[in-house]
Amino acid sequence: MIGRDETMRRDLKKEVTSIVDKQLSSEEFDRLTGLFKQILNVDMDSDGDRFFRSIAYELTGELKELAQLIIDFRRGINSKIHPNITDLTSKFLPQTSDQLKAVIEATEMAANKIMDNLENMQEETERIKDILTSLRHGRTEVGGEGGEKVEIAVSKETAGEISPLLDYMESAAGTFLSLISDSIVQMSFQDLTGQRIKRAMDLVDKMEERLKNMLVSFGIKLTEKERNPRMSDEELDRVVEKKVMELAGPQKAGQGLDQADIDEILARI
Amino acid sequence: MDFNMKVLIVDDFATMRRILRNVLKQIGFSSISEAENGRAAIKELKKDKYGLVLCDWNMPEVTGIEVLTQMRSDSELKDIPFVMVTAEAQKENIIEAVKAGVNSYIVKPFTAETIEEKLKKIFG
Repeated sequence: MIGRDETMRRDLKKEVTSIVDKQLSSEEFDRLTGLFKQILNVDMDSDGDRFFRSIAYELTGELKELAQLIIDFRRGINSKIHPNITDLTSKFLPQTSDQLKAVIEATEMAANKIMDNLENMQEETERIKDILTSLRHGRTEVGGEGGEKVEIAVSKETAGEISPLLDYMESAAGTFLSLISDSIVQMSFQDLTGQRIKRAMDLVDKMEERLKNMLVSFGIKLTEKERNPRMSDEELDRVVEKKVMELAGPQKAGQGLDQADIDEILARI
Repeated sequence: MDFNMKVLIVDDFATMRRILRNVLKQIGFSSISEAENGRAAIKELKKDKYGLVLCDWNMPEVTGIEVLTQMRSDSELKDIPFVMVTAEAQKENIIEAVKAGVNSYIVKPFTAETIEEKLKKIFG
Protein backbone atom coordinates (compact mmCIF):
# COMPACT_ATOMS: atom_id res chain seq x y z
CA MET A 1 0.00 0.00 0.00
CA ILE A 2 2.73 2.44 1.05
CA GLY A 3 4.74 1.61 -2.07
CA ARG A 4 1.72 2.24 -4.31
CA ASP A 5 0.95 5.61 -2.61
CA GLU A 6 4.54 6.70 -3.06
CA THR A 7 4.42 5.73 -6.72
CA MET A 8 1.20 7.67 -7.24
CA ARG A 9 2.54 10.73 -5.45
CA ARG A 10 5.68 10.61 -7.55
CA ASP A 11 3.64 10.22 -10.76
CA LEU A 12 1.33 13.07 -9.82
CA LYS A 13 4.21 15.37 -8.95
CA LYS A 14 5.90 14.52 -12.26
CA GLU A 15 2.70 15.18 -14.21
CA VAL A 16 1.95 18.50 -12.55
CA THR A 17 5.57 19.68 -12.83
CA SER A 18 5.64 18.88 -16.52
CA ILE A 19 2.62 21.07 -17.25
CA VAL A 20 3.15 23.88 -14.79
CA ASP A 21 4.60 26.32 -17.31
CA LYS A 22 2.54 25.55 -20.37
CA GLN A 23 -1.00 25.17 -21.58
CA LEU A 24 -2.88 22.03 -20.75
CA SER A 25 -3.81 20.11 -23.89
CA SER A 26 -6.86 17.88 -23.87
CA GLU A 27 -4.66 14.76 -23.70
CA GLU A 28 -2.82 16.13 -20.70
CA PHE A 29 -6.10 17.08 -19.10
CA ASP A 30 -7.39 13.50 -19.55
CA ARG A 31 -4.18 12.06 -18.16
CA LEU A 32 -4.27 14.33 -15.14
CA THR A 33 -7.90 13.66 -14.28
CA GLY A 34 -7.33 9.95 -14.76
CA LEU A 35 -4.45 10.12 -12.31
CA PHE A 36 -6.55 12.06 -9.78
CA LYS A 37 -9.29 9.47 -10.04
CA GLN A 38 -6.78 6.74 -9.26
CA ILE A 39 -5.53 8.67 -6.23
CA LEU A 40 -9.06 9.34 -4.99
CA ASN A 41 -9.89 5.63 -5.14
CA VAL A 42 -6.92 4.69 -2.97
CA ASP A 43 -7.58 4.15 0.76
CA MET A 44 -5.47 6.81 2.53
CA ASP A 45 -5.59 7.23 6.32
CA SER A 46 -2.81 9.56 7.45
CA ASP A 47 -3.31 13.33 7.88
CA GLY A 48 -0.84 14.01 5.10
CA ASP A 49 -2.72 11.72 2.76
CA ARG A 50 -6.10 13.29 3.66
CA PHE A 51 -4.67 16.74 2.93
CA PHE A 52 -3.28 15.50 -0.34
CA ARG A 53 -6.61 13.94 -1.25
CA SER A 54 -8.50 17.20 -0.52
CA ILE A 55 -6.12 19.06 -2.87
CA ALA A 56 -6.68 16.41 -5.51
CA TYR A 57 -10.47 16.73 -5.10
CA GLU A 58 -10.31 20.49 -5.44
CA LEU A 59 -8.20 20.39 -8.59
CA THR A 60 -10.26 17.64 -10.12
CA GLY A 61 -13.41 19.65 -9.42
CA GLU A 62 -12.18 22.76 -11.25
CA LEU A 63 -10.79 20.83 -14.20
CA LYS A 64 -13.93 18.74 -14.40
CA GLU A 65 -16.04 21.88 -14.23
CA LEU A 66 -14.12 23.36 -17.12
CA ALA A 67 -14.55 20.23 -19.20
CA GLN A 68 -18.26 20.13 -18.36
CA LEU A 69 -18.56 23.76 -19.36
CA ILE A 70 -17.19 22.96 -22.77
CA ILE A 71 -19.52 20.00 -23.20
CA ASP A 72 -22.53 22.11 -22.12
CA PHE A 73 -21.41 24.88 -24.38
CA ARG A 74 -21.25 22.53 -27.32
CA ARG A 75 -24.63 21.01 -26.61
CA GLY A 76 -26.55 24.07 -25.53
CA ILE A 77 -25.21 26.98 -27.45
CA ASN A 78 -26.29 26.07 -30.96
CA SER A 79 -29.92 26.37 -29.92
CA LYS A 80 -29.38 29.87 -28.59
CA ILE A 81 -27.32 31.47 -31.33
CA HIS A 82 -28.56 31.87 -34.86
CA PRO A 83 -26.74 29.39 -37.09
CA ASN A 84 -25.86 32.21 -39.50
CA ILE A 85 -23.64 33.74 -36.85
CA THR A 86 -21.83 30.53 -36.02
CA ASP A 87 -21.53 29.75 -39.74
CA LEU A 88 -20.04 33.18 -40.27
CA THR A 89 -17.39 32.53 -37.64
CA SER A 90 -16.50 28.96 -38.35
CA LYS A 91 -17.00 28.81 -42.11
CA PHE A 92 -17.52 32.00 -44.08
CA LEU A 93 -14.87 34.25 -42.58
CA PRO A 94 -12.08 31.67 -42.77
CA GLN A 95 -13.23 30.86 -46.32
CA THR A 96 -13.15 34.55 -47.23
CA SER A 97 -9.57 34.88 -46.02
CA ASP A 98 -8.58 31.79 -48.03
CA GLN A 99 -10.28 33.12 -51.14
CA LEU A 100 -8.51 36.46 -50.89
CA LYS A 101 -5.17 34.70 -50.49
CA ALA A 102 -5.96 32.67 -53.61
CA VAL A 103 -6.64 35.90 -55.53
CA ILE A 104 -3.18 37.24 -54.63
CA GLU A 105 -1.56 33.97 -55.68
CA ALA A 106 -3.47 33.81 -58.98
CA THR A 107 -2.69 37.41 -59.94
CA GLU A 108 0.98 36.93 -59.04
CA MET A 109 1.16 33.85 -61.25
CA ALA A 110 -0.54 35.63 -64.16
CA ALA A 111 1.62 38.75 -63.79
CA ASN A 112 4.80 36.65 -63.79
CA LYS A 113 3.71 34.74 -66.91
CA ILE A 114 2.88 37.97 -68.74
CA MET A 115 6.25 39.41 -67.72
CA ASP A 116 8.05 36.30 -69.00
CA ASN A 117 6.45 36.89 -72.41
CA LEU A 118 7.09 40.63 -72.37
CA GLU A 119 10.75 40.20 -71.46
CA ASN A 120 11.20 37.68 -74.29
CA MET A 121 9.57 40.11 -76.72
CA GLN A 122 11.82 42.88 -75.39
CA GLU A 123 14.93 40.82 -75.98
CA GLU A 124 13.93 39.82 -79.53
CA THR A 125 12.97 43.36 -80.49
CA GLU A 126 16.29 44.72 -79.23
CA ARG A 127 18.06 42.10 -81.33
CA ILE A 128 16.08 43.12 -84.41
CA LYS A 129 17.01 46.76 -83.81
CA ASP A 130 20.70 45.82 -83.60
CA ILE A 131 20.44 43.84 -86.85
CA LEU A 132 18.85 46.77 -88.66
CA THR A 133 21.55 49.14 -87.41
CA SER A 134 24.36 46.89 -88.50
CA LEU A 135 22.70 46.32 -91.89
CA ARG A 136 23.05 50.02 -92.58
CA HIS A 137 26.79 49.52 -92.38
CA GLY A 138 26.68 46.74 -94.96
CA ARG A 139 26.93 43.63 -92.81
CA THR A 140 24.94 41.77 -90.25
CA GLU A 141 24.50 38.32 -88.71
CA VAL A 142 21.29 36.41 -88.05
CA GLY A 143 20.63 32.99 -86.57
CA GLY A 144 19.98 30.42 -89.31
CA GLU A 145 18.09 27.10 -89.12
CA GLY A 146 19.57 24.66 -86.60
CA GLY A 147 21.13 27.59 -84.69
CA GLU A 148 23.87 28.40 -87.21
CA LYS A 149 24.75 32.02 -87.70
CA VAL A 150 24.29 33.39 -91.20
CA GLU A 151 26.19 36.44 -92.35
CA ILE A 152 24.39 38.89 -94.58
CA ALA A 153 26.28 41.48 -96.52
CA VAL A 154 24.81 44.25 -98.60
CA SER A 155 26.58 46.69 -100.84
CA LYS A 156 26.70 50.39 -100.02
CA GLU A 157 24.36 50.98 -102.91
CA THR A 158 21.80 48.47 -101.74
CA ALA A 159 22.03 49.77 -98.17
CA GLY A 160 21.25 53.22 -99.53
CA GLU A 161 18.28 51.95 -101.53
CA ILE A 162 16.72 50.14 -98.61
CA SER A 163 17.44 52.97 -96.16
CA PRO A 164 13.77 54.12 -96.00
CA LEU A 165 12.74 50.58 -95.19
CA LEU A 166 15.41 50.35 -92.50
CA ASP A 167 14.20 53.69 -91.07
CA TYR A 168 10.64 52.45 -90.89
CA MET A 169 11.58 49.15 -89.29
CA GLU A 170 13.89 50.77 -86.75
CA SER A 171 11.13 53.20 -85.80
CA ALA A 172 8.64 50.33 -85.46
CA ALA A 173 11.09 48.39 -83.26
CA GLY A 174 11.48 51.47 -81.09
CA THR A 175 7.71 51.75 -80.74
CA PHE A 176 7.45 48.08 -79.80
CA LEU A 177 10.14 48.47 -77.16
CA SER A 178 8.38 51.46 -75.68
CA LEU A 179 5.02 49.63 -75.57
CA ILE A 180 6.63 46.54 -74.04
CA SER A 181 8.37 48.64 -71.40
CA ASP A 182 5.11 50.36 -70.54
CA SER A 183 3.27 47.02 -70.34
CA ILE A 184 5.90 45.67 -67.95
CA VAL A 185 5.43 48.66 -65.66
CA GLN A 186 1.63 48.18 -65.77
CA MET A 187 2.12 44.75 -64.18
CA SER A 188 2.51 46.71 -60.94
CA PHE A 189 -1.29 46.32 -60.69
CA GLN A 190 -0.49 43.03 -58.95
CA ASP A 191 1.40 44.83 -56.20
CA LEU A 192 -1.24 47.54 -55.77
CA THR A 193 -4.19 45.13 -55.68
CA GLY A 194 -2.22 42.69 -53.53
CA GLN A 195 -1.57 45.31 -50.85
CA ARG A 196 -5.25 46.23 -50.66
CA ILE A 197 -6.30 42.59 -50.58
CA LYS A 198 -3.85 41.92 -47.75
CA ARG A 199 -5.45 44.73 -45.74
CA ALA A 200 -8.88 43.21 -46.37
CA MET A 201 -7.53 39.83 -45.24
CA ASP A 202 -6.20 41.33 -42.00
CA LEU A 203 -9.62 42.84 -41.38
CA VAL A 204 -11.38 39.53 -42.05
CA ASP A 205 -8.98 37.70 -39.71
CA LYS A 206 -9.61 40.27 -36.96
CA MET A 207 -13.37 39.99 -37.43
CA GLU A 208 -13.13 36.23 -37.20
CA GLU A 209 -11.16 36.41 -33.95
CA ARG A 210 -13.54 38.94 -32.38
CA LEU A 211 -16.63 36.99 -33.35
CA LYS A 212 -15.15 33.81 -31.93
CA ASN A 213 -14.39 35.57 -28.65
CA MET A 214 -17.89 37.03 -28.57
CA LEU A 215 -19.49 33.64 -29.17
CA VAL A 216 -17.41 31.97 -26.49
CA SER A 217 -18.20 34.75 -23.99
CA PHE A 218 -21.89 34.61 -24.86
CA GLY A 219 -22.00 30.85 -24.44
CA ILE A 220 -20.26 30.98 -21.10
CA LYS A 221 -22.55 33.79 -19.92
CA LEU A 222 -25.65 31.79 -20.82
CA THR A 223 -24.39 28.67 -19.12
CA GLU A 224 -23.33 30.49 -15.97
CA LYS A 225 -26.60 32.41 -15.75
CA GLU A 226 -28.58 29.22 -16.11
CA ARG A 227 -26.56 27.67 -13.34
CA ASN A 228 -26.72 30.75 -11.06
CA PRO A 229 -29.78 32.84 -11.97
CA ARG A 230 -29.24 35.18 -9.00
CA MET A 231 -25.74 36.14 -10.05
CA SER A 232 -25.41 39.89 -10.65
CA ASP A 233 -24.30 41.21 -14.04
CA GLU A 234 -21.00 42.39 -12.60
CA GLU A 235 -20.25 39.04 -11.04
CA LEU A 236 -21.26 37.34 -14.27
CA ASP A 237 -18.88 39.51 -16.28
CA ARG A 238 -16.04 38.65 -13.90
CA VAL A 239 -16.77 34.94 -14.12
CA VAL A 240 -17.00 35.11 -17.92
CA GLU A 241 -13.72 36.98 -18.20
CA LYS A 242 -12.00 34.42 -15.98
CA LYS A 243 -13.39 31.48 -17.91
CA VAL A 244 -12.59 33.01 -21.31
CA MET A 245 -9.01 33.56 -20.26
CA GLU A 246 -8.79 30.00 -18.98
CA LEU A 247 -10.21 28.65 -22.21
CA ALA A 248 -8.19 30.81 -24.54
CA GLY A 249 -4.73 31.00 -23.04
CA PRO A 250 -2.01 29.64 -20.76
CA GLN A 251 -2.55 32.14 -17.94
CA LYS A 252 -3.04 29.49 -15.29
CA ALA A 253 -0.86 26.44 -15.21
CA GLY A 254 -2.88 23.30 -15.69
CA GLN A 255 -6.14 25.12 -16.32
CA GLY A 256 -5.82 26.54 -19.83
CA LEU A 257 -6.88 24.92 -23.06
CA ASP A 258 -5.37 26.02 -26.34
CA GLN A 259 -7.00 27.92 -29.20
CA ALA A 260 -7.35 24.70 -31.20
CA ASP A 261 -9.89 23.51 -28.64
CA ILE A 262 -11.91 26.70 -29.00
CA ASP A 263 -11.85 26.35 -32.78
CA GLU A 264 -12.91 22.75 -32.47
CA ILE A 265 -15.83 23.74 -30.25
CA LEU A 266 -17.00 26.30 -32.76
CA ALA A 267 -16.51 24.00 -35.72
CA ARG A 268 -18.74 21.39 -34.09
CA ILE A 269 -21.57 23.81 -33.27
CA MET B 1 25.20 58.67 -63.28
CA ASP B 2 27.53 55.72 -62.72
CA PHE B 3 25.71 52.74 -64.26
CA ASN B 4 28.23 50.35 -62.72
CA MET B 5 27.08 51.11 -59.18
CA LYS B 6 25.28 48.40 -57.24
CA VAL B 7 21.56 48.99 -56.80
CA LEU B 8 19.38 47.34 -54.16
CA ILE B 9 15.64 46.88 -54.74
CA VAL B 10 13.59 46.26 -51.59
CA ASP B 11 9.94 45.17 -51.85
CA ASP B 12 7.90 42.30 -50.39
CA PHE B 13 6.12 41.76 -53.73
CA ALA B 14 8.24 39.75 -56.16
CA THR B 15 6.42 41.20 -59.19
CA MET B 16 7.35 44.73 -58.18
CA ARG B 17 11.01 43.79 -57.68
CA ARG B 18 10.99 42.28 -61.17
CA ILE B 19 9.45 45.40 -62.70
CA LEU B 20 11.97 47.71 -61.05
CA ARG B 21 14.80 45.45 -62.14
CA ASN B 22 13.60 45.68 -65.74
CA VAL B 23 13.27 49.45 -65.60
CA LEU B 24 16.75 49.86 -64.10
CA LYS B 25 18.22 47.60 -66.77
CA GLN B 26 16.56 49.68 -69.48
CA ILE B 27 18.05 52.82 -67.95
CA GLY B 28 21.48 51.17 -68.07
CA PHE B 29 22.17 49.65 -64.66
CA SER B 30 23.61 46.15 -64.73
CA SER B 31 24.44 45.32 -61.12
CA ILE B 32 21.07 44.91 -59.38
CA SER B 33 20.26 42.99 -56.20
CA GLU B 34 16.97 42.36 -54.41
CA ALA B 35 15.72 42.05 -50.84
CA GLU B 36 12.21 40.97 -49.95
CA ASN B 37 12.00 42.78 -46.62
CA GLY B 38 13.60 45.49 -44.53
CA ARG B 39 15.60 43.12 -42.37
CA ALA B 40 17.13 41.38 -45.39
CA ALA B 41 17.85 44.78 -46.93
CA ILE B 42 19.94 46.00 -43.98
CA LYS B 43 21.81 42.70 -43.94
CA GLU B 44 22.54 43.01 -47.68
CA LEU B 45 23.63 46.64 -47.39
CA LYS B 46 26.13 45.68 -44.71
CA LYS B 47 27.52 42.88 -46.87
CA ASP B 48 28.40 44.90 -49.97
CA LYS B 49 28.95 48.44 -51.21
CA TYR B 50 25.75 49.89 -52.70
CA GLY B 51 25.29 53.11 -54.59
CA LEU B 52 21.49 53.30 -54.56
CA VAL B 53 18.47 51.83 -52.76
CA LEU B 54 14.93 51.68 -54.14
CA CYS B 55 12.58 50.68 -51.33
CA ASP B 56 8.89 50.08 -50.71
CA TRP B 57 7.25 51.53 -47.57
CA ASN B 58 4.72 48.90 -46.51
CA MET B 59 6.59 45.70 -45.69
CA PRO B 60 6.11 43.24 -42.83
CA GLU B 61 8.32 43.47 -39.71
CA VAL B 62 10.60 46.30 -40.87
CA THR B 63 9.00 49.01 -43.00
CA GLY B 64 10.73 51.13 -45.64
CA ILE B 65 10.78 54.17 -43.37
CA GLU B 66 12.47 52.05 -40.68
CA VAL B 67 15.08 50.90 -43.20
CA LEU B 68 15.74 54.52 -44.11
CA THR B 69 16.01 55.58 -40.46
CA GLN B 70 18.41 52.74 -39.70
CA MET B 71 20.53 53.60 -42.75
CA ARG B 72 20.74 57.29 -41.85
CA SER B 73 21.92 56.46 -38.36
CA ASP B 74 24.58 54.04 -39.56
CA SER B 75 27.97 55.57 -40.41
CA GLU B 76 28.58 53.04 -43.22
CA LEU B 77 25.16 53.45 -44.85
CA LYS B 78 24.07 57.02 -44.14
CA ASP B 79 25.22 58.52 -47.45
CA ILE B 80 23.65 55.95 -49.79
CA PRO B 81 20.92 57.60 -51.90
CA PHE B 82 17.49 56.23 -50.95
CA VAL B 83 14.41 56.39 -53.16
CA MET B 84 11.05 55.45 -51.63
CA VAL B 85 8.83 53.70 -54.20
CA THR B 86 5.42 53.30 -52.60
CA ALA B 87 1.65 53.41 -52.94
CA GLU B 88 1.51 55.70 -49.86
CA ALA B 89 0.63 59.08 -51.32
CA GLN B 90 -0.52 61.10 -48.30
CA LYS B 91 1.18 64.39 -47.50
CA GLU B 92 2.17 63.19 -44.03
CA ASN B 93 3.95 60.15 -45.50
CA ILE B 94 6.01 62.34 -47.78
CA ILE B 95 6.87 64.71 -44.94
CA GLU B 96 7.87 61.79 -42.72
CA ALA B 97 10.10 60.37 -45.45
CA VAL B 98 11.75 63.71 -46.09
CA LYS B 99 12.39 64.18 -42.36
CA ALA B 100 13.94 60.70 -42.28
CA GLY B 101 16.32 61.67 -45.07
CA VAL B 102 14.81 60.29 -48.31
CA ASN B 103 16.43 61.48 -51.55
CA SER B 104 13.35 60.99 -53.72
CA TYR B 105 9.78 59.77 -53.40
CA ILE B 106 8.03 57.92 -56.22
CA VAL B 107 4.37 56.99 -55.99
CA LYS B 108 3.01 53.74 -57.45
CA PRO B 109 1.88 53.30 -60.17
CA PHE B 110 4.91 54.92 -61.81
CA THR B 111 6.32 55.08 -65.33
CA ALA B 112 9.82 54.12 -66.38
CA GLU B 113 10.39 57.74 -67.41
CA THR B 114 9.59 58.95 -63.87
CA ILE B 115 12.15 56.58 -62.37
CA GLU B 116 14.80 57.72 -64.83
CA GLU B 117 13.98 61.38 -64.27
CA LYS B 118 14.20 61.07 -60.48
CA LEU B 119 17.50 59.18 -60.64
CA LYS B 120 18.98 61.80 -62.98
CA LYS B 121 17.97 64.47 -60.46
CA ILE B 122 19.77 62.63 -57.65
CA PHE B 123 22.96 61.87 -59.54
CA GLY B 124 23.03 64.81 -61.92
